[in-house]
Amino acid sequence: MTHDSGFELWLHRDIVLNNNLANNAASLSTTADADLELLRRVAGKDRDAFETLYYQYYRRVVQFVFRFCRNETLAEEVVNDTLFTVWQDAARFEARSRVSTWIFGIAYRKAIKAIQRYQAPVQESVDEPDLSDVEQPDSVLSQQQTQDWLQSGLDQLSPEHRSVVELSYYHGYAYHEIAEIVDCPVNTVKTRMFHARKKLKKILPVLNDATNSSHVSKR
Amino acid sequence: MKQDTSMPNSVHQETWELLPWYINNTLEFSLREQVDQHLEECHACRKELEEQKQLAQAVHQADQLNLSPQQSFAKLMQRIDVSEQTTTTATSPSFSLLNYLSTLWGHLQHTPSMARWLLAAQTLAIVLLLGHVMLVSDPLVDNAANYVTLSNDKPSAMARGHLRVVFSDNSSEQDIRKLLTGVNARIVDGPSTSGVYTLAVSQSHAASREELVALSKQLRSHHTVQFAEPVFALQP
Repeated sequence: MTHDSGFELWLHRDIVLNNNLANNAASLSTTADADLELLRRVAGKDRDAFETLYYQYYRRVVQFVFRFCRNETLAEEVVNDTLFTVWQDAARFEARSRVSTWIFGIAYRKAIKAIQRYQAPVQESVDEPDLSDVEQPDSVLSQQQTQDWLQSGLDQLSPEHRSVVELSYYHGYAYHEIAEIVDCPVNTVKTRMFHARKKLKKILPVLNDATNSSHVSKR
Repeated sequence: MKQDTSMPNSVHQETWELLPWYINNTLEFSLREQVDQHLEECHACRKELEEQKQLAQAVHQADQLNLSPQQSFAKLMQRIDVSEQTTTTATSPSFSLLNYLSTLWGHLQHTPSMARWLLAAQTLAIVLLLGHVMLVSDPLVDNAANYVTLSNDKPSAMARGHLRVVFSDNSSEQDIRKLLTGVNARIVDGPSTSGVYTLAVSQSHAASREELVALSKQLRSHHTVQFAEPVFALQP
């Protein structure tokens, strides 16, 4: 990869990220009505509507839960538990929030319970994560390396802190929606995000290196 | 110059807290403007914004998960079937009859004495008649028939269960036909939008639970089949 192309790649990634996040926000609002219509049909035990809803949420919910437990089988179990509850309780949905917020709220509660059932609880360290023993990168990080670094940082967080990062940065939820999903006050969401950011500061120099090396080589 | 990120400035602190939702474009307009304005004058927040964008970028790169939604969906539908069969059993005729008698008793208590006896006699006759109908017809009722879908033209042939199958994408119609002929099964429903087919076993007798489990194993071992699970109706 040439220096120029590395720089352009970074610029492109930045633009793509901004576009993705903006598109996510836009598409979330435009699909809200369609989701509500689907859920109404599911409440009437319409299996075709349920199948459509299932496929719309499957990947997103698996991804969300997988980041909690790092176990695909468990993540798929939680997704089916979640959608089973959706099938049974669809008629009780009162449309006070978006359908997706409701479904993610169910998934969040199921995921927390599943983790407690199958795994030792994640011990959140009081200090910032100690990542000093991880090999420092000396060149542009591959996507896999960046993911490994990110995961080692996220692993240091409690599920509650991690979920706020995921719901904001991967799923594009507003803080008041996250408060609904994880069932806590809005200020708690902001505080959790604040602490998560502080703890993840350790990995940011690595992410920085990955991008700065492109910037530096451009000059 | 090192800037203190915990400076006692409420606008600064608020902006600092809101940056993640500024990045994901979910802030309401007035707050977004406030953040924009503060960013123009605060180097620390601009630096933090860049760092958080990098973090968001890293989080946004999804893990490459090896997912099979078709199989998961088929498993969930099987669970739903079992759950709904159980619900149907809970509201079986004997329960309904008890409710009916209980309601009748309530009405009887509010009727004149003569009418009460006449109604009681009539009710007894109805109960005896119902009991007779249930006793005579019970052995003939196949509970599985309650769960046969409307699209099945021969409910009795469904016996006590059927199979849900997902064929691999590259299997030809000829392969599938050959496979189904070999195991004496036929497609009675599907494909659903996710490609799930429902199979019935064409046998002279009702396929037992063990036979269906064995058959689903046999089907799974075939190269054209991605997923196969028996769907059991409730045993009478």
